Amino acid sequence: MTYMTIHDEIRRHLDRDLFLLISEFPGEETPRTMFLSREVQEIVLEAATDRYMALVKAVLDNFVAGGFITVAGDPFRKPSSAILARVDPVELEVFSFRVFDPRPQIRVLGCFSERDTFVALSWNYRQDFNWNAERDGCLAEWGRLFNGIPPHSGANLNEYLSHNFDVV
Amino acid sequence: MSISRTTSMLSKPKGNEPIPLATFAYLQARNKLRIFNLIRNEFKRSGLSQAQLAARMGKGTDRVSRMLGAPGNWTLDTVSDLLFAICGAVPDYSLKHPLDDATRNDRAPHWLEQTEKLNFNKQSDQSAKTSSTEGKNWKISEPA
Repeated sequence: MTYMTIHDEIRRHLDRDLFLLISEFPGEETPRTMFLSREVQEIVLEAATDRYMALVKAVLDNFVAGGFITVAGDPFRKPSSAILARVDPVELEVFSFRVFDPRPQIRVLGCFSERDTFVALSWNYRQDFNWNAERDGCLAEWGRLFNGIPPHSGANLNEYLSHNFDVV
Repeated sequence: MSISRTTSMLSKPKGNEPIPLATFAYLQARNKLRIFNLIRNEFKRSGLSQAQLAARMGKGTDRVSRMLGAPGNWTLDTVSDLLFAICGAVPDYSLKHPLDDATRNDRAPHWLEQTEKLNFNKQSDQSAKTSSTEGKNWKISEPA
């Protein structure tokens, strides 16, 4: 039996089921990494022509470019403005990117595969969100892609992000 | 590893060619996020509390907390006020031409750079494109 690491699995899916999010600017540093599922990748594709999706892409690109983000560790006690938030129950390691502008708001769900590397797996409009169903769908996609390798987990948020964030 | 940019939504303005509204929207959002980055880093560095900053600005703590929570539609005046109140700084303007920059060769994590099949052009495979908004029944309408 061959032991597959999360890197092996990502390589295996690259350009088929997972896509590397690359900065729009060729010379920009990208201290963080994001992989997109096919579903989230569609936002990226539509961003070129759809003003709404362009705003969403700017938020995802900001993560990759190492931009400042506010992170809520407690799903039940978070400021409405947190950019990244843990989804209940936190043990399942699902996080939500919260895109406030445009309206209606969008949530992009995914998990960290390692520190500073996020795998964005699903999205929906906030107003249509059924949190349990969206979380479970996100985890099902993780399971399908990564063959039993669990999402990255850490004792605190410093083990998910190395720099330029505040816990709120 | 070679990385090219067939999926870029940005290209340099040319002649009388209209710039897509999506491009403006993207750049506006990026601008807000970068100013937010600047302000939040200065605030963190200052060691001030939100209450102290609110007192300096003559605003309520709730309002300052909201301003610092996420990028908003700050006016130039608000940015100027925040920077001065935080650390006595003023904005310093300069221009960049990022689309002219040479492509970095470390745009993917190092463990992926050796991957032969890495060719993110494929992400633009239009044949794979379906409308992600199908079944998600709301889209912003473009201004006239």
